Parts: sequence; structure tokens; C-alpha cells
Amino acid sequence: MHQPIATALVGVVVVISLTVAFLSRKFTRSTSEFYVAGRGISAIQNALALSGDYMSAASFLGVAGLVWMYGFDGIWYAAGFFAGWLVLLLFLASPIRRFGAYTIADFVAGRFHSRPLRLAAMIGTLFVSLFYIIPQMVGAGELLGLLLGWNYTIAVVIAGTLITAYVVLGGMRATTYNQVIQCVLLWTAMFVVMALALSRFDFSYSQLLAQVGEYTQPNRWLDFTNSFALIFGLVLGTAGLPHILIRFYTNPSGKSARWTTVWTLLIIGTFYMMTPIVGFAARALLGDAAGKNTALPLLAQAVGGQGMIGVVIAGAFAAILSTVAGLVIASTGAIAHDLFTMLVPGASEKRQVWVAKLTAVGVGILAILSGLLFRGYNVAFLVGLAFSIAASTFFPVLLTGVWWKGTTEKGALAGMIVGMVGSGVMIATNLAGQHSLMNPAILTVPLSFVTIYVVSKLDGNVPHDTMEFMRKVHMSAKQKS
Amino acid sequence: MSNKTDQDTERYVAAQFRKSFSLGLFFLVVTLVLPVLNQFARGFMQQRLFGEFTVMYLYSVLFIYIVAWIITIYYVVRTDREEGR
Repeated sequence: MHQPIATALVGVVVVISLTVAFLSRKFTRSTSEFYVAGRGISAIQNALALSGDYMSAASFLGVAGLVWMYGFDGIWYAAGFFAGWLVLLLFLASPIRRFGAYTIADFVAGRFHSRPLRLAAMIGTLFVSLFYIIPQMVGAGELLGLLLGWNYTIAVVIAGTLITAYVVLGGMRATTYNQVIQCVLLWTAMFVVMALALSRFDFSYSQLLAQVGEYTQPNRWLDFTNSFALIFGLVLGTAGLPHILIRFYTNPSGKSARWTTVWTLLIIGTFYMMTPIVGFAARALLGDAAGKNTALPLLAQAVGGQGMIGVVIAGAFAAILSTVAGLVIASTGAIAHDLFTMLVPGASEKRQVWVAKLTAVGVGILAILSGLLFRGYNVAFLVGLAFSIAASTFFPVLLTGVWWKGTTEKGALAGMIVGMVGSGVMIATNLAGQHSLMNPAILTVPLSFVTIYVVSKLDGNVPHDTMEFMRKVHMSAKQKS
Repeated sequence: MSNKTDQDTERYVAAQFRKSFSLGLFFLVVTLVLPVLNQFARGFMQQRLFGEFTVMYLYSVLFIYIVAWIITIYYVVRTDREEGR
């Protein structure tokens, strides 16, 4: 279908994104500016950027679509996506910022002084990020293709090129400011659609639920085991997502990192509270005439006409841009910072930034190719799998590294490999129909923890500066002095 | 650093972990108990509290969020105060 208003609004998003990147170009002269915006992003700015980064196509389109399709079972995603932030706040946000590096590999390598761990963390970052990029690019292609009438391939190429352009041009600072704008746009779009949809039910939430009847009941899609496993994976996966974790490095202090999380929880909490209303409204008003990834835009059209669908498409496009930009920065850091500095120690700042920009172009091309290869896959489902891999690969290593002084290099390395390989194998065998467990984190996270504990105990070779590390990540400057 | 300082650090980290772990465990139980109750206490979860809102529905779209916000504010304010001492 052709949507002139939507096309114009998407055009506005594109122009704003590139303008912000152009104005931020002078802030990419050092690695600190390129990767962590000079650590000068305030708590509220960072919370908006983190929310934009986190609320991807899966949150904006996928959750409402799953609620439309399966009813209550789709709500698990909203609750899980939200709940993970508390784990992040309680265990990791402040220590990670206090360590003050650029990437997750920096953090584990700094804790254990280990090149193999740095390499494993780099591979893990790329693995998780790629798994997360695929559904975003698929979402971009489907959304722009279906609703604006664009060819799928052209839509994916345009989205990928735009994201790459503004990351290369403006680095983390441009990415941050764009994510702030995109967060406001997509939250507002969700709110307006929800309000317009509720107006069809005299603003009575209860009346809406009465209309959808059986869809408010659980287990239409997920059985008990898979519901439990999904929540478990989403809650712990948030605390293992590289593109989210590295944003905490952009805060000026550990205290600021904590307050960033408070604001983020408020923004995304209110957002996820709206998604079931929108999903159920789509079911009540559209019946079966919607799709897993298109329930929200089609509902917007039904309740607000062409102008409203334009706002939603622009919001969804913003959600995709902000998330993929964060993933491109995280992947770029993994290759250009972690790998390059390991291979070429002592490279100049200028050379490192140049390599980072070149790498961002490569990652952008990879994102476009992955979008083209995985056409037709379900967006929220794929993101759920990325959470499982993140939870299994990074969460146990980061948690034990930050809180247990007995963790050793060998223990951390073994735990990371077991988590990453184990979750990858479990997902592949599930997709091949060999078992029914869709989100394997419930098995692979405990397995990774046990591996870290057992191998560390057997090894016993605790890094000599562990207590120094503990002081650095757990104490404020005032406490240390 | 002296052993005494190391012991102080260990005590401080242990106290911080106890705080985070107890709050985190509480919230994890609050979240994960939802599918368990839906499976094993369906009658209770299906009770209507008002209008079409059942215990299960309000738990998943409201209660979890409120608990998380309360824990968040409590944790951040308490930690800020401890670090300021």
C-alpha cells in the first residue's frame, strides 16, 4: 500500500538522523569520543538513549503482534524485557561504569588479564549482536516493504546504509542523540495509538478485555516450561547484552549509571504497560486481519487513518535505527578496539578511530546481508533467542567476575565458552525439531555458573590484583580516599 | 594495600552483595512465580478483582512493574547514602 504521509515522516526521521550525525562529526577524533562519547552523557539523556537502544522492532512491533496473535502469552515478552533491567541495576550497572573501559571484552580482560578471554568476549559480542541485528533488519524490510510499498531488498539496504552513515559520521555521540530523539518518537507513537484505540472502548480497559475473551488466558502458545524458560532468559539476558552494557560507560560516574537505570525503568516500564492494550485492541478491532509484525501499524490505521499509520511507521523505523546503531557500535568496538589493539598494540588514536569507522562500514554491510538472508523470520522470537545467548554467554561471567573474588581466568573462560556454545547448540537443535525448549537459558545459565565455580576451584589461580579490582568497581572515589 | 584494607574491602563487597542479592532474589521470585501460579493455582489467578481484571492479569501488567520501581528507588537511594558516608 502507498502511504504518502508515512513516507514523508520516515523521510523526516532520516533527515534528522543525518543532521545530528553531521553536527556531531567533530566528536569522533578520539577513541573515547567515538566509543563512549567522552563519558559525558547525563543520566536522563542516557536513560532516553538506553530506552531507544533497548526498545527495538521486537518491543515496538513484536510484542503487540504476539499479544494480537497469542493473547496473554505475548505479555511474557513485555514483562521479561522490563524485568531484566532490575538485575542489571542491582548487580552490574555501577561496577561496569566504574571500571571505565570501552567494551565488555575490556572489562573481562581487565579483571583477569587474559588475551583468550578478550578474544572469547569479542566473539561473544559479535555472536549476540548479530543475532540481535538480524530481526531488526528483517523488521525494517518487512515494515517498509509492506506498508510503504518499498521493495524488501531496497528497504533493508536503505535502513542499513543510513545507520552505518550516522555511526561512522558521528560515533557514540551522534548515536546517543539520535537514540534520544527516536525514543521520544516511538514512546509517543505507542501512547497515541493506545489512547486512540482505548477511545473505541469508551476508555475502558475492562471493556477491551471483555471483547477479547479467551485471548486473556495463558498457554495458547507457550506451555508452562517454555513460559518459565522465556521469562528466565529475558530477565537475565538484558544483563548480558553488549550494546546495552557499553552504554553505561558513557555515564560520568557510577552514581550516574544507577540513576540512568532508574529513569530507564520508568520509561520502558510505562512503554511495556501499553503494549498489551495495543495488542488486545488489535485483536478486538481487526480480528484475524493483521500480522505478527504488523498488528500495531494496522491498528493505527484503523483508529487514526493514514496520518496515524505514518506516525507508527516512523516510530518503528526509529526503533530499528536506534537499536541497530547501538549494535553496530558494540560490534565495531569488538573488532576495531578488542581485536585490532590486540593485534597492533600501540596504534595511534587517529589510526584506531580510522579502523573503527572502517569496521562500522563492514558491520553495516553484514547487517544488510543478514537482513536479506533471514527474510520472513519472526522478529520478537529471534530477539528472545538473542537474549538467551546473551544471558548464557555474559551474565554468569560478569556476575561472578564482579562479585566473587575466587573467580579465575580459566573458570571465566570455561564458563563463557560453555554458555555460548551450549546456548547456540540448544537453539540450533530446537530449530531442527530435536527438542521443544525454545529458550535454553534456563539450562545453559546454571551450567555456565557451575562451570565457572568448579573450574575456578580446581584452578585456584586467582589474579594477583583482585582486591584492587574490587575496590575500583565497588567503591566511590570518596570511599577509596 | 594492607591486609586490613583488603578485609575492609571484602566486608564492604559482601555487604553490598547481600543487599543486591536479597533484592534481586525477591524480584526474581516475584517474576518467576507468575508462570508457576498460572500452572498450579489457576483458580486463584483467575479470580476477578474488578471488572474483567483477574489476579493473573493485574499481576503481569501492573504488580511486577510497581514492585520493580519500588525496589529500584529503595536500592538507589540507599546505595547513594552509603557511598556518601
